[in-house]
Amino acid sequence: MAEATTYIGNATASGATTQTLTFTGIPSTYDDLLIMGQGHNNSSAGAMLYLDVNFNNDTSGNYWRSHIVTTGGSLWGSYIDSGLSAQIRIAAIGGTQNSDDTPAGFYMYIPRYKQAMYNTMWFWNAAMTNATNWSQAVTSNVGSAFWGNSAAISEIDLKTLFGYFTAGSSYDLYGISNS
Amino acid sequence: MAQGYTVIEKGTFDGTTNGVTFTSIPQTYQHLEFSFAGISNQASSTRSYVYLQFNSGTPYASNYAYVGWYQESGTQNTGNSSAAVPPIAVGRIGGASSQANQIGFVRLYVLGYSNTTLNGKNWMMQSGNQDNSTSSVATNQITGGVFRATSKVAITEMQVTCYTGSGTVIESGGTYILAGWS
Repeated sequence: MAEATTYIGNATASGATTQTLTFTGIPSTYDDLLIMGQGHNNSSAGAMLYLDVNFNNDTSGNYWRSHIVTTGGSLWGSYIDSGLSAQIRIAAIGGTQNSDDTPAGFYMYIPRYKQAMYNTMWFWNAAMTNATNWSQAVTSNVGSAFWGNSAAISEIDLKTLFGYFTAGSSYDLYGISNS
Repeated sequence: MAQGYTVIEKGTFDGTTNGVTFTSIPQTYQHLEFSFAGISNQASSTRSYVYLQFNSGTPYASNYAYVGWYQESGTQNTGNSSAAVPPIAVGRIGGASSQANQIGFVRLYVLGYSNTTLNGKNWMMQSGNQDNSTSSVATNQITGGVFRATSKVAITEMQVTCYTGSGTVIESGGTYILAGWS
């Protein structure tokens, strides 16, 4: 019997010149996809920056998103966005104003990524810390999103809006079968 | 091709302990996944808190930061700490089955636990149960945190316990699984 979970590949930033980490050639041999990993950003634009996602280089306004963010001990907000074409923010990632350089991590599950139907994803962002601004000391968000494109997902891009991923930022892609 | 999910350890509680400690966690995986299903013996409480600690040799408050959102007895709340002395309370399961509370469930992910390049390990926990003693409402908590030991050490130990008060144990039949993702 086929294994239920399979490691497909890794995307790691080797130096401070990587703004997009890409999984290409994703095989259509599984039922679902899962990404887990951690990263940090070298930009001085803020203590809390954003990590965006893109499927199959689609920038056609096909993304819907709903998520809640908790930060500094309060519910920062809940957001609903429709028809997004870019900056599909799934997670926070720390910039250089995050003085202790702690990474942010996320878990993203994409069910039925290869079927000729609209794709959905569910993401879950772990905390990041900002030692110089305790009001944003820890941030976490949970959400789901919807990609209104019937194509199978064969490429996933993880993008930083500002700056670059710092060396060691690393994300793993898994295939889930028989789910 | 490598298998993604591998069970490291699984077991069943016998009603004499309030948690589980994993020592010498193998460093051959990238991420950890912990699952728990069970209930505590605390009849006087609608819940028991779930506590978490990494690497028992470094129990420093400065190593822990977390933020959480929870809903309990119909009320929504948030909580956080940027310097909590471990073990830290980051989840909740049901109190005793004598109150007809339902079994609680915990799922925990620890990302990059064996990574010694980045200055911290991110973790996420979701827990919940149904509390039949309070209008049959569901309890849910979602927490994200970071373990930020300054020396960028790997996580080699992890302790997950539940506690409400003196004598708290997990009732017999509760189960857990620790798995690695590689």
